[in-house]
Amino acid sequence: MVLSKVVPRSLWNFRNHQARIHSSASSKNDTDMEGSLSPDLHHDCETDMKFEQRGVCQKFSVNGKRRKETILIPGNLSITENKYGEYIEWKPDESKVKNGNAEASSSGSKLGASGGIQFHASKGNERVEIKPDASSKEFLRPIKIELPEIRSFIVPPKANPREIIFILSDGTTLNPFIFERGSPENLVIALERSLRITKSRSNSNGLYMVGVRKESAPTMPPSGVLPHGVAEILGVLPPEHQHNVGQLWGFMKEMKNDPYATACTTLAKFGHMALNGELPINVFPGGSSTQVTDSVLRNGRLEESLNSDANELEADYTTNEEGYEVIFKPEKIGVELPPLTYFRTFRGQPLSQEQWLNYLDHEGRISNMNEIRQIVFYGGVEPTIRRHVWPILLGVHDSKSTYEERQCQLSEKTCYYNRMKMQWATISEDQEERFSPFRDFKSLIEKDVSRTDRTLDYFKGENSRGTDILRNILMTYMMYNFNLGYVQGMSDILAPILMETQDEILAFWVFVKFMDLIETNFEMSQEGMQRQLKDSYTLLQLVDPKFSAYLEACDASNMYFAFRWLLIWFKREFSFQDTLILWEALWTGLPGPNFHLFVGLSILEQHSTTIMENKFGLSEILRHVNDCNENRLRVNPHPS
Amino acid sequence: MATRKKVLLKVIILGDSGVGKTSLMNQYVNKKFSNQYKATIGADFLTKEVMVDDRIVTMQIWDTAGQERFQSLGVAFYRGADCCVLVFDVSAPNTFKSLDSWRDEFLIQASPRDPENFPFVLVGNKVDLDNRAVPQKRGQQWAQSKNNMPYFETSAKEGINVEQAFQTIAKNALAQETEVDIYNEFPDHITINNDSRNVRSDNCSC
Repeated sequence: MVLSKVVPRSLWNFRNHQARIHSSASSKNDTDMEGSLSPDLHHDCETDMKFEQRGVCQKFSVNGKRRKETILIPGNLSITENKYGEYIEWKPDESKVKNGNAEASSSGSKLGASGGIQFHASKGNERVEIKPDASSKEFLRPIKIELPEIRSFIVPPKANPREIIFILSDGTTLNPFIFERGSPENLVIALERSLRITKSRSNSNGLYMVGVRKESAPTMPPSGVLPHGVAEILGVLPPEHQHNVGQLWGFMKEMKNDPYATACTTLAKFGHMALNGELPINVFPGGSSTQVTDSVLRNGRLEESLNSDANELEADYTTNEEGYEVIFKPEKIGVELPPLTYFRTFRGQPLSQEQWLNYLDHEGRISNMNEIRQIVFYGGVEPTIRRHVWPILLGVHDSKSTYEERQCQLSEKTCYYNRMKMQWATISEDQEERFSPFRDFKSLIEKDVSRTDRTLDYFKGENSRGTDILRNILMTYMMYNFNLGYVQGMSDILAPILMETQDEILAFWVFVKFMDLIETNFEMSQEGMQRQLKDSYTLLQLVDPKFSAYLEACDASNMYFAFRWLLIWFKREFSFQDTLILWEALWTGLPGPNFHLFVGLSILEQHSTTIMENKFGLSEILRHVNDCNENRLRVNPHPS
Repeated sequence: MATRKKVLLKVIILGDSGVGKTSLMNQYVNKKFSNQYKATIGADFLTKEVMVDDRIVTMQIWDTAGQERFQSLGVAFYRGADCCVLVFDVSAPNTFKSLDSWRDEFLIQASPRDPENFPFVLVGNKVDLDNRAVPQKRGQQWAQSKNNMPYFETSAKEGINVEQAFQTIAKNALAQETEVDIYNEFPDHITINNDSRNVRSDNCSC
């Protein structure tokens, strides 16, 4: 720990203390930008260094060619104070950044520079070099946060090397800081001098809540104020229920490794209501529960469990001898669910080429499509055979068709595709002038194609081939389904399919079938989206009454923060490869047609504790959810 | 000075898809530009603390999806807006033509207390491009015809005029926010004995 007085160099000349990440920007009209609005609050004022720890890396996750890659940028973390307030700062280690002879740090990260910045990312023992480009500068952006902006932080107990993740009052989650030297505990001790730090009510999750010590307390921004009514809800919670949070969190941690398991166990909570696509959603809240109960009772197995030892278990949420968690009886809802036990699920092996061929008879008919669906649901499909399996899974071809029939269909579909492609390709600019719906769709497609996944090699660079094909398919789909035309989000849906198949015609027909499943998401009325958001909330009321009540109290029961998840099936949340694994599972239609809602719920459940303990309001929840991107969500295909 | 009450200003950015709403927001808040922003789905916001007329205010800048059909779901977030920024692309006349409907739609959905005097700011973005198609004069005329709203021509890419535009946005939003406070029938705190505001201004060391 170093205590010294330093005057900040111009490089760290921050011009405002915003809640978001601060930058020492290099914009050319920096001086103009100052204006009278945001005077440099930190320029020329003396800074006390209250704590300093060298060897703290900022961790970035980026999409590599096939998988996630981690980039660690070495730097120093410090707590500083000037007359305007106290700050936590992280700066990249200049000597390592500018010095070409950068030494590899213990975890395998390395920075060097010769005619640009080169990053070496590490994934396990593997090293990947990332080409320097404009975005590399992103990694070198220093961070400076006013201490009162910190709402909470997480020190994952088992992380090695140790790390700390800060959550800010506007809901932003910063990238993890990895301690290659020192430990987060020393930082926490230093923070405790200025902040009131309490451990989360749940025990083992490593979440700490931050309050401001009175003597140095600027008031929180109005947005951070707990909405009226939330406190009551949290307040009336009887103490015996409070450990539910801990139970939940422990379970969530397991789920982090496997969203499927999560989703499955979530599903288990309400049995088979979803299986027939008959989610009893129209009767809540306050409506008659008869209808629901009837539909629940019609199902034999659920009836059985309804009649089982419900009384023994209804009191609370407990852990039984096998270590499985038992759900307590939900309240406030017109239906009472029977107590169900969680079951553990594991990802299976992906459908292999050998297995696939075994399912085909000598003419190419598939002998047991249901078994294939099961395998795909639990384990996915080996990438090499996706181009054969997907069209069957989605119904581009019937599973009972022969090789010959499929070949025949394919040439018909190729002709059809080319005909539709000619239709738009031959519309002249002159015609466009008098064809405004076409022109508007075309212009939207142009705009979106040029900003869809351009960081991936397949879509990289000016006039990349991938981008051209993306445009062709979207234009052709517009002609195929002109009533819908082009709607934003479609390019996100198509890009992974195209990149994986790299076949224009195949990708088009797979896309068409996928769109059939989610067409209502894109309709003008947006009724489909409204319904899914509403259904999600209803499900949440069943699964987690406390959290759903919390959301209602902060006006977030419209679930709008989940909009992006549901519109494009989590494509922006997961990496490319993980998205495909997830989509394959969802395409099987197992265990019911609305399974993607359960996936959404399980992700949300992972964050319920964080949201409630941070007392996030509507906008902070959105911020937090928008930050739940691929840096934090993984599909783990084979945990074993 | 640390105990001074912070003000939250809510600013909504509206305009057709691809006019540069996300870029403007990021240029202002993070002083950076990327041509790799993805199309905004749903809504998002960034916050920035700034000084306006000697007050520290937190600007919460809301970025929205540009395609019309996605607007209806976002209105939950527009409530309580203090200023609305209408953006068009100076190289795309259609985006200029949509301004009327964006303005009307906002007034309907956000239903501000005093729609006649609600602060809007017009931004013509992408002035760095060569193929300009909406003359400055047309922008000015439109802005004048709408209760004389301020008009800025910007380049989010080059960082031209962005700071100035948001400076005006912040000032007008703060004026709006202050007005709302006056009309607020149920203020949060009523100080009877101790006029803390006077005490503050006398003792403030900053």
